[in-house]
Amino acid sequence: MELSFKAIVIGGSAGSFSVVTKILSKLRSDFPLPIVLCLHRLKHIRSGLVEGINLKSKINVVEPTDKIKIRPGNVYLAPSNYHLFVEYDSTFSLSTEEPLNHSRPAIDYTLSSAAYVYRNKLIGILLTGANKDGARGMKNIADKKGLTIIQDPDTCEVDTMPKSALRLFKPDKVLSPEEIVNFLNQLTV
Amino acid sequence: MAISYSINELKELAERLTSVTELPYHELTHSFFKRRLALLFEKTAIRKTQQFISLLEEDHFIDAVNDEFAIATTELFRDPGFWRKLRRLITDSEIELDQQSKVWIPNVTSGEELYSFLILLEEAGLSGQFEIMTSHISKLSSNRVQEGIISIKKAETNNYNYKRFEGNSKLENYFGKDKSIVYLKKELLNNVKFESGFFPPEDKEHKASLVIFRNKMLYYNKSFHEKLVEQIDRNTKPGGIVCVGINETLPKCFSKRFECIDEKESIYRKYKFLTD
Repeated sequence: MELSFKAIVIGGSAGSFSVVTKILSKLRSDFPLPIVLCLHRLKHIRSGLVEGINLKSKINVVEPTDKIKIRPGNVYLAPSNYHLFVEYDSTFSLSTEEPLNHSRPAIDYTLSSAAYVYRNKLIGILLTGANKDGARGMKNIADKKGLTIIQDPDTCEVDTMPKSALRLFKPDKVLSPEEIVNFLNQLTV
Repeated sequence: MAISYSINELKELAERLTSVTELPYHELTHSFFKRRLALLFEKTAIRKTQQFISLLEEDHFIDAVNDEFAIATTELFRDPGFWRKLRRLITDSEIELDQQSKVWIPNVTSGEELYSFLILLEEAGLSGQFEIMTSHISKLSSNRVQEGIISIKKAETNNYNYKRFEGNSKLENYFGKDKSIVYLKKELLNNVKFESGFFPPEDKEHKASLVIFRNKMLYYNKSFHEKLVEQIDRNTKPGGIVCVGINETLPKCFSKRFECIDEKESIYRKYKFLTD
């Protein structure tokens, strides 16, 4: 599949760690797009998650500091207790604003800001999770003609998050984790 | 509420706000400005730009705008590891503080950073010994902080953070309650000066030994960070400590003026040999 995208954003909550590590362990190491991960996480645990994902991932995983440039070949994990936004100049900005959907980082914020910047050049993926955060952000991606993928609720540890999104709009694809990997690995420059 | 203005329209509004308030609205990150403006429009039921612009002639509305853009810290002892480290630096005399010392806490919004610092000093037996200068971009937020008011909704988070800070008392001992309002005990605020503006006024003869400026640069474009840090540099004495947010760093061009003494907690020391 010819690459017409500039970035991928992935949101997830309860049960998503194993899905994310599965995806990242099976993506090829020269994967051509930056991947932005916004996962609900314990706010007081600042380290451990990025290291855990890195152990499994073939692609370098980092927690972005404020205003760093988004570059292909990296996976960016939203830091704990900060919201993560994508800016027009392809940098990240962080925020300590109030939690949204009881979450900081809030998936809706990351997805919506990426949708606004990348429009139809964005792939949004929403995984397993226990609240509705991310549903609105995915709809925003769809509204901007980005490509939307929702994890098949039947394969989710907790299906509240994907089902909330499915109630809001019709995504381009509903896929199992294995199918998500296959789809992403088809993307070529 | 979705806001559907173009980038240029948002830039024009930011420029307008800068000229009316003399605050650097035009330097805010695009996503932040757009988001807060949408929230403001929603809260004030504003539907058209022209309506917004005409309201900017009213002082109380301008202050409400500034208040909306003043981001609350949202937690006492946010990042307990940072506060433990700061306490250690102070009690081990790594920060040179004496009775003439000045502490700078610019752009105080909801008060939690200030209150956390005052509680730290109280527990270290240093309460009331330094001049603490704060600044505020809105009268609304300044009034709240001067009264010591804190959101009651955050009690659980605050207590949890305080426990991880390993404080030697109970957080509730530092606060009073009047009906539904919780406030920091007045005596803790005795040595605090409240100034209006983004930064407290400069005093070349009496520079700060400690500057707490955490999570304030996040909302501004990278190019503006240098100007913010220049201002801090000018007002920090050689050997003084500057604390920024744990996901913030001082711009590289300041590497010959500040050394990072704690990378994890983003704490910097201005080189002692500098004579400014």
